[in-house]
Amino acid sequence: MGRVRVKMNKLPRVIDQIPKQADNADARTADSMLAFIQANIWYDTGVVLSTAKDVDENGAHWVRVGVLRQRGFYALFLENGTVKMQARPLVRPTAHAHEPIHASNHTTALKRACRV
Amino acid sequence: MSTGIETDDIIEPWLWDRLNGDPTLAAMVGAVVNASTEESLTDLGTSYVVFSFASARDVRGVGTTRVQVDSIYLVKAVVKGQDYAPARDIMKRVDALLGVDQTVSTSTGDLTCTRETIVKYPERQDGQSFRHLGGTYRIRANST
Repeated sequence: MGRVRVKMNKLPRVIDQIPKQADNADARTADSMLAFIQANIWYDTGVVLSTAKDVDENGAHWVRVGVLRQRGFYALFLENGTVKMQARPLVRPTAHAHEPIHASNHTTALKRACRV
Repeated sequence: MSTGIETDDIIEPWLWDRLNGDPTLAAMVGAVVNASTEESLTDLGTSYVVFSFASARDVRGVGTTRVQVDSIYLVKAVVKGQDYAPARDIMKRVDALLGVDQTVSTSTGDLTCTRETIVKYPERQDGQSFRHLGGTYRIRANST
Protein backbone atom coordinates (compact mmCIF):
# COMPACT_ATOMS: atom_id res chain seq x y z
CA MET A 1 0.00 0.00 0.00
CA GLY A 2 1.49 3.33 -1.08
CA ARG A 3 2.08 6.26 1.16
CA VAL A 4 1.22 9.87 0.48
CA ARG A 5 3.81 12.46 1.35
CA VAL A 6 2.78 16.07 1.59
CA LYS A 7 5.79 18.13 0.55
CA MET A 8 4.07 21.49 0.75
CA ASN A 9 0.65 22.24 2.13
CA LYS A 10 -0.90 24.79 -0.25
CA LEU A 11 -4.39 24.37 1.12
CA PRO A 12 -4.30 27.51 3.31
CA ARG A 13 -3.30 29.59 0.26
CA VAL A 14 -6.08 28.03 -1.80
CA ILE A 15 -8.58 28.78 0.96
CA ASP A 16 -7.25 32.32 1.10
CA GLN A 17 -7.69 32.74 -2.66
CA ILE A 18 -11.23 31.38 -2.96
CA PRO A 19 -13.10 34.44 -1.57
CA LYS A 20 -11.03 36.81 -3.71
CA GLN A 21 -11.56 34.83 -6.87
CA ALA A 22 -15.25 34.33 -6.10
CA ASP A 23 -15.60 38.08 -5.65
CA ASN A 24 -13.91 38.62 -9.03
CA ALA A 25 -16.39 36.15 -10.57
CA ASP A 26 -19.33 38.05 -9.07
CA ALA A 27 -17.90 41.32 -10.38
CA ARG A 28 -17.49 39.86 -13.89
CA THR A 29 -21.11 38.64 -13.88
CA ALA A 30 -22.36 42.01 -12.63
CA ASP A 31 -20.36 43.88 -15.29
CA SER A 32 -21.74 41.61 -18.00
CA MET A 33 -25.32 41.97 -16.76
CA LEU A 34 -25.05 45.76 -16.62
CA ALA A 35 -23.60 45.91 -20.15
CA PHE A 36 -26.42 43.69 -21.42
CA ILE A 37 -29.09 45.80 -19.73
CA GLN A 38 -27.60 49.09 -20.94
CA ALA A 39 -27.44 47.77 -24.49
CA ASN A 40 -31.01 46.49 -24.54
CA ILE A 41 -32.98 48.76 -22.22
CA TRP A 42 -36.20 50.33 -23.47
CA TYR A 43 -35.29 53.90 -24.38
CA ASP A 44 -37.67 56.83 -24.30
CA THR A 45 -36.23 59.69 -22.28
CA GLY A 46 -33.12 57.88 -21.09
CA VAL A 47 -34.03 58.28 -17.41
CA VAL A 48 -34.33 54.55 -16.73
CA LEU A 49 -31.03 53.95 -18.56
CA SER A 50 -29.33 56.57 -16.38
CA THR A 51 -30.36 54.68 -13.23
CA ALA A 52 -28.82 51.37 -14.40
CA LYS A 53 -25.78 50.91 -12.20
CA ASP A 54 -23.38 48.28 -10.93
CA VAL A 55 -23.02 48.91 -7.20
CA ASP A 56 -20.64 47.30 -4.69
CA GLU A 57 -22.32 47.37 -1.32
CA ASN A 58 -21.93 45.38 1.88
CA GLY A 59 -19.48 43.04 0.23
CA ALA A 60 -21.84 42.17 -2.63
CA HIS A 61 -22.24 43.23 -6.24
CA TRP A 62 -25.63 44.60 -7.24
CA VAL A 63 -27.01 45.56 -10.61
CA ARG A 64 -29.74 48.10 -10.02
CA VAL A 65 -32.19 49.52 -12.52
CA GLY A 66 -34.69 52.23 -11.63
CA VAL A 67 -34.05 51.98 -7.91
CA LEU A 68 -34.40 55.69 -7.21
CA ARG A 69 -38.10 56.22 -6.77
CA GLN A 70 -38.35 59.58 -8.47
CA ARG A 71 -35.97 58.74 -11.28
CA GLY A 72 -36.55 55.57 -13.17
CA PHE A 73 -39.23 53.98 -11.00
CA TYR A 74 -41.00 53.23 -14.27
CA ALA A 75 -38.57 50.32 -14.78
CA LEU A 76 -40.84 48.30 -12.46
CA PHE A 77 -43.79 48.83 -14.80
CA LEU A 78 -41.72 48.02 -17.87
CA GLU A 79 -40.59 44.79 -16.25
CA ASN A 80 -43.97 43.63 -14.99
CA GLY A 81 -46.56 45.55 -17.02
CA THR A 82 -49.40 47.91 -16.19
CA VAL A 83 -53.15 47.70 -16.69
CA LYS A 84 -52.62 49.32 -20.09
CA MET A 85 -49.28 47.88 -21.15
CA GLN A 86 -47.94 44.37 -21.43
CA ALA A 87 -44.80 43.51 -19.51
CA ARG A 88 -41.59 44.22 -21.40
CA PRO A 89 -39.14 42.35 -19.19
CA LEU A 90 -35.43 43.01 -19.46
CA VAL A 91 -33.85 42.52 -16.03
CA ARG A 92 -35.42 39.08 -15.55
CA PRO A 93 -34.26 37.70 -18.94
CA THR A 94 -30.82 39.20 -18.30
CA ALA A 95 -30.51 37.41 -14.97
CA HIS A 96 -31.86 34.21 -16.50
CA ALA A 97 -29.36 34.32 -19.36
CA HIS A 98 -26.54 34.94 -16.90
CA GLU A 99 -27.22 31.87 -14.73
CA PRO A 100 -24.93 29.56 -16.77
CA ILE A 101 -22.45 32.42 -17.29
CA HIS A 102 -22.30 33.01 -13.54
CA ALA A 103 -21.77 29.29 -12.90
CA SER A 104 -18.98 29.27 -15.47
CA ASN A 105 -17.36 32.36 -13.90
CA HIS A 106 -17.31 30.62 -10.53
CA THR A 107 -15.85 27.44 -12.01
CA THR A 108 -13.06 29.56 -13.47
CA ALA A 109 -12.63 31.31 -10.13
CA LEU A 110 -12.22 28.02 -8.29
CA LYS A 111 -9.67 26.80 -10.83
CA ARG A 112 -7.71 30.04 -10.43
CA ALA A 113 -7.81 29.73 -6.67
CA CYS A 114 -6.32 26.25 -6.92
CA ARG A 115 -3.53 27.49 -9.19
CA VAL A 116 -1.32 28.74 -6.36
CA MET B 1 -34.10 15.00 -27.11
CA SER B 2 -36.64 17.76 -27.06
CA THR B 3 -37.96 19.11 -30.34
CA GLY B 4 -40.31 21.85 -31.39
CA ILE B 5 -41.09 25.17 -29.78
CA GLU B 6 -41.67 24.08 -26.21
CA THR B 7 -43.07 27.40 -25.00
CA ASP B 8 -45.84 27.30 -27.60
CA ASP B 9 -46.27 23.53 -27.82
CA ILE B 10 -46.27 22.61 -24.13
CA ILE B 11 -45.98 25.43 -21.62
CA GLU B 12 -48.51 28.02 -22.74
CA PRO B 13 -51.24 25.50 -23.61
CA TRP B 14 -50.75 23.95 -20.15
CA LEU B 15 -50.91 27.35 -18.42
CA TRP B 16 -54.00 28.27 -20.42
CA ASP B 17 -55.77 24.99 -19.65
CA ARG B 18 -54.89 25.09 -15.95
CA LEU B 19 -56.00 28.67 -15.44
CA ASN B 20 -59.05 28.58 -17.70
CA GLY B 21 -60.31 25.16 -16.78
CA ASP B 22 -60.79 25.83 -13.09
CA PRO B 23 -64.33 26.83 -12.04
CA THR B 24 -63.12 28.26 -8.70
CA LEU B 25 -60.75 30.66 -10.40
CA ALA B 26 -63.33 31.47 -13.06
CA ALA B 27 -65.70 32.63 -10.32
CA MET B 28 -63.04 34.94 -8.89
CA VAL B 29 -61.78 36.75 -12.00
CA GLY B 30 -63.25 38.35 -15.08
CA ALA B 31 -60.69 36.92 -17.47
CA VAL B 32 -57.51 34.96 -17.89
CA VAL B 33 -55.14 36.52 -20.38
CA ASN B 34 -52.16 35.12 -22.24
CA ALA B 35 -50.04 38.22 -22.80
CA SER B 36 -48.32 36.56 -25.76
CA THR B 37 -51.51 36.52 -27.78
CA GLU B 38 -53.56 39.35 -26.28
CA GLU B 39 -52.56 42.72 -27.68
CA SER B 40 -54.90 44.84 -25.59
CA LEU B 41 -55.46 44.80 -21.84
CA THR B 42 -58.58 46.95 -21.86
CA ASP B 43 -62.09 45.87 -20.86
CA LEU B 44 -60.96 42.98 -18.70
CA GLY B 45 -63.17 43.79 -15.74
CA THR B 46 -62.20 44.65 -12.19
CA SER B 47 -59.94 41.65 -11.77
CA TYR B 48 -58.09 39.36 -14.09
CA VAL B 49 -55.15 37.00 -14.25
CA VAL B 50 -52.44 37.52 -16.83
CA PHE B 51 -49.51 35.27 -17.64
CA SER B 52 -46.64 36.43 -19.78
CA PHE B 53 -43.47 34.96 -21.17
CA ALA B 54 -40.36 36.48 -19.58
CA SER B 55 -37.43 34.38 -20.68
CA ALA B 56 -36.38 30.98 -22.02
CA ARG B 57 -33.12 29.16 -22.40
CA ASP B 58 -32.33 25.87 -24.08
CA VAL B 59 -30.69 23.24 -21.91
CA ARG B 60 -28.31 21.06 -23.85
CA GLY B 61 -27.18 17.53 -23.18
CA VAL B 62 -24.36 15.82 -24.99
CA GLY B 63 -23.15 17.84 -27.96
CA THR B 64 -25.85 19.99 -29.47
CA THR B 65 -28.78 17.87 -28.34
CA ARG B 66 -31.48 19.95 -26.71
CA VAL B 67 -32.95 18.11 -23.77
CA GLN B 68 -35.10 20.76 -22.16
CA VAL B 69 -36.28 24.34 -22.22
CA ASP B 70 -35.84 26.32 -19.03
CA SER B 71 -38.30 29.21 -19.01
CA ILE B 72 -39.60 31.91 -16.70
CA TYR B 73 -43.18 33.13 -16.78
CA LEU B 74 -44.78 35.97 -14.90
CA VAL B 75 -48.26 35.11 -13.60
CA LYS B 76 -50.13 37.79 -11.71
CA ALA B 77 -53.55 38.90 -10.59
CA VAL B 78 -54.59 42.48 -11.30
CA VAL B 79 -57.42 43.94 -9.25
CA LYS B 80 -59.01 47.36 -9.17
CA GLY B 81 -58.85 49.10 -5.80
CA GLN B 82 -56.40 49.77 -3.01
CA ASP B 83 -56.63 46.41 -1.28
CA TYR B 84 -54.37 43.46 -1.98
CA ALA B 85 -56.77 40.99 -0.32
CA PRO B 86 -58.76 40.05 -3.48
CA ALA B 87 -55.51 39.61 -5.42
CA ARG B 88 -54.13 37.46 -2.61
CA ASP B 89 -57.14 35.13 -2.76
CA ILE B 90 -56.82 34.84 -6.53
CA MET B 91 -53.10 34.13 -6.39
CA LYS B 92 -53.58 31.50 -3.70
CA ARG B 93 -55.81 29.67 -6.13
CA VAL B 94 -53.41 30.24 -9.03
CA ASP B 95 -50.52 28.95 -6.97
CA ALA B 96 -52.49 25.85 -6.04
CA LEU B 97 -53.13 25.24 -9.73
CA LEU B 98 -49.57 25.87 -10.92
CA GLY B 99 -47.40 24.99 -7.95
CA VAL B 100 -47.03 21.35 -8.82
CA ASP B 101 -44.22 19.52 -7.11
CA GLN B 102 -43.98 16.75 -9.62
CA THR B 103 -43.56 16.28 -13.34
CA VAL B 104 -46.72 16.87 -15.31
CA SER B 105 -47.29 14.93 -18.50
CA THR B 106 -49.28 16.54 -21.28
CA SER B 107 -50.15 15.25 -24.72
CA THR B 108 -47.16 17.12 -26.19
CA GLY B 109 -44.55 16.78 -23.45
CA ASP B 110 -43.57 16.91 -19.80
CA LEU B 111 -43.00 19.90 -17.56
CA THR B 112 -42.29 21.01 -14.03
CA CYS B 113 -43.42 24.31 -12.56
CA THR B 114 -42.08 26.06 -9.46
CA ARG B 115 -42.69 29.57 -8.17
CA GLU B 116 -39.45 31.46 -7.62
CA THR B 117 -40.33 34.98 -6.56
CA ILE B 118 -43.31 37.05 -5.53
CA VAL B 119 -44.16 40.10 -7.60
CA LYS B 120 -46.17 42.80 -5.84
CA TYR B 121 -46.71 46.46 -6.69
CA PRO B 122 -49.37 49.16 -6.79
CA GLU B 123 -50.36 51.24 -9.77
CA ARG B 124 -52.36 54.39 -10.27
CA GLN B 125 -53.82 54.91 -13.71
CA ASP B 126 -56.31 57.61 -14.79
CA GLY B 127 -57.18 58.40 -11.18
CA GLN B 128 -57.87 54.76 -10.29
CA SER B 129 -55.85 52.43 -8.09
CA PHE B 130 -54.83 48.94 -9.08
CA ARG B 131 -52.94 46.21 -7.27
CA HIS B 132 -50.72 43.69 -8.99
CA LEU B 133 -49.84 40.51 -7.12
CA GLY B 134 -48.30 37.37 -8.52
CA GLY B 135 -45.07 35.55 -9.01
CA THR B 136 -42.48 34.35 -11.43
CA TYR B 137 -42.64 30.65 -12.22
CA ARG B 138 -39.79 28.58 -13.53
CA ILE B 139 -41.18 26.08 -15.98
CA ARG B 140 -38.95 23.42 -17.46
CA ALA B 141 -40.38 21.48 -20.36
CA ASN B 142 -39.35 18.84 -22.82
CA SER B 143 -41.35 17.47 -25.70
CA THR B 144 -42.04 13.78 -26.02
